[in-house]
Amino acid sequence: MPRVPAEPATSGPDTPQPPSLRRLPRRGLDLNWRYIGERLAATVFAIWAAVTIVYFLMMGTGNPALLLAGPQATNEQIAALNALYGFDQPAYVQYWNFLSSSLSGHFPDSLRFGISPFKVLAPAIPQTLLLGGTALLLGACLGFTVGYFSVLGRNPVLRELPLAMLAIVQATPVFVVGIVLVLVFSIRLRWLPTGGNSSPLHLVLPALTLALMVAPKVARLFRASLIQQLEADHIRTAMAKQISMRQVRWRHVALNAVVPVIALLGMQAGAVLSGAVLTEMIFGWPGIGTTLVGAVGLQDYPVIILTVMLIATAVCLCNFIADVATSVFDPRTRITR
Amino acid sequence: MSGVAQEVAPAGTERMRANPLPARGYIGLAMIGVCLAIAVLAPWLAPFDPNKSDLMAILTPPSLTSGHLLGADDLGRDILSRILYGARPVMLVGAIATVLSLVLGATLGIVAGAGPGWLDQFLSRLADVQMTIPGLVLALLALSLFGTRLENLILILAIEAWPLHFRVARGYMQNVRTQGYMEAAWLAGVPAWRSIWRHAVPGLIPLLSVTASISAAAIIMTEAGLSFIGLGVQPPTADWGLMISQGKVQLGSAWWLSIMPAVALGVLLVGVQMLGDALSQKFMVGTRGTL
Repeated sequence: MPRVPAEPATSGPDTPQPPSLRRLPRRGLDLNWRYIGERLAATVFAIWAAVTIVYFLMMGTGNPALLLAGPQATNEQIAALNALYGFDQPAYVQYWNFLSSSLSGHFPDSLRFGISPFKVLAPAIPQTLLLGGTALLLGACLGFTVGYFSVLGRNPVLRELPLAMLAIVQATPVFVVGIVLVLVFSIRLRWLPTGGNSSPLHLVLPALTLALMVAPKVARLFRASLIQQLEADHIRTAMAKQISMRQVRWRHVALNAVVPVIALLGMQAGAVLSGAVLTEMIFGWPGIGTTLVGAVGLQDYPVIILTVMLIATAVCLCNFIADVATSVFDPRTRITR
Repeated sequence: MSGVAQEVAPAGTERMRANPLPARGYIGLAMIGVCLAIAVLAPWLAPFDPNKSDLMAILTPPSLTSGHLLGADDLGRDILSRILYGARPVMLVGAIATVLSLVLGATLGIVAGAGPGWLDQFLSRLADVQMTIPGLVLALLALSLFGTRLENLILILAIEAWPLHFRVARGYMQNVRTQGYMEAAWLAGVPAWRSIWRHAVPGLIPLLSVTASISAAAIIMTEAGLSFIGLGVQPPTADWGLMISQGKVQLGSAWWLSIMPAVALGVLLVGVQMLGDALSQKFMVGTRGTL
């Protein structure tokens, strides 16, 4: 991934600035704390709303105590849940109890394992972070490369073909991509293992599967963004100043075109996490997706609900990080907001 | 956040004539048409009963001579017949859920765009929040809580897809309500609902055709993913996602179990995507790549 400058190329420190542009950020990391605060508030709101949606879905089943305690629950267990959540009390009390107990980490034990669902998920979380992080990085690299050459490449085949291939991949469900990769690289060529996570080699196929989900979107947006940059006035100025084409391409066009893609990458976190559920299932990767699917099979509702809330929280946080990152790299978002 | 919808300009009839549907739109339409025809005509096209197992035919590879053109699965069921019948839940869920989400999203979008500010705020927040929970994960939770019935599946997929239509319809309405012809209609004493219906909705339909194709692809993908996990269509009903999932174990010895339905799914999805691409090129000339 190309490095992105922390300040825009157009506002040098010495240039005299008209009064209306005085709020342009200075050199260096000039964070707009008010904007970050606003985004943070929106993120907290979104997390709260997601937890509320999960709560209403749970209540919608009619008998949440039985749901959380399992079909073989004794009366004492149900009474204990009622004591924790107050399922026998008015709705607003129940809701408050659910929120506060979720926030403080009190959760009914996993029906299958008899331990806190946090402990069930704890070993899975780093695995999913590793898989998702690798995939996001790999997908971004792939997408940037394909997008860059689709606009600025010399070879017409290299310009069109990878983009067309990525368009087909984008239309293919992630689990089909995974299965095809297994068939080709594990079963036919025998280069890579089909599943598990005992060595770095095991990471290659799942990460590639997920990366192929991200790459087409990155490539398309980067391409559109590059084309837009090419038409910008400062590019014409740069070329008029006889700056070498190579430098114009990299510093003026590509680096500026990266900015909208950063927001996209943050937005992709949710898609990557859903994709991770399917990918982990195909490759037997012991992350939260495998845990979630396993819990669904066992009807282990405390684990399911906690996992869904964690995923929603993670997505909100990723969006927040992307918003802040965009505002760091693109000062315009700080001023207009 | 809602920049997508605001850049969308109303499409005029002249521009429609100037921009014919690109060729790949017709190709996409043909691919969708084939899948639809397969789903409708399955009983007449299928050479075998999709659920009848033939012990002699277990894991027959695809061949022209054995009678099983695309092979048979680990229970000796004919893959071709199962693919033909498997198109039915896929097309049914895809079509109904898309239409439902379209009606829901467009109605709420028009209400938000033309109605009072607080309602707009509320609905927009709701759409934002819903987009933060990944569709597959939310569907997984809902289906595991309420059971994997087909109507639940359709309903949850429709509910998940509404924010896209909502955003586009809302942005369009906000744009249109300031246009001169809407003011003229208002001055002429035309009731608001009537001027929306007569003067705003017709211009919105091309935009919705684009969002419909985008959400149809997402819905079909999520349906297949849920069936793959085991929370969508339940066995023994033939369904493409389910067939891919069931064949996965045999991938080393009998690749056709998974790959054949995957190809069918791929054809449908590529078709939907091509149609969507062509439609967005036709109707949203200035805004390509933003949706």
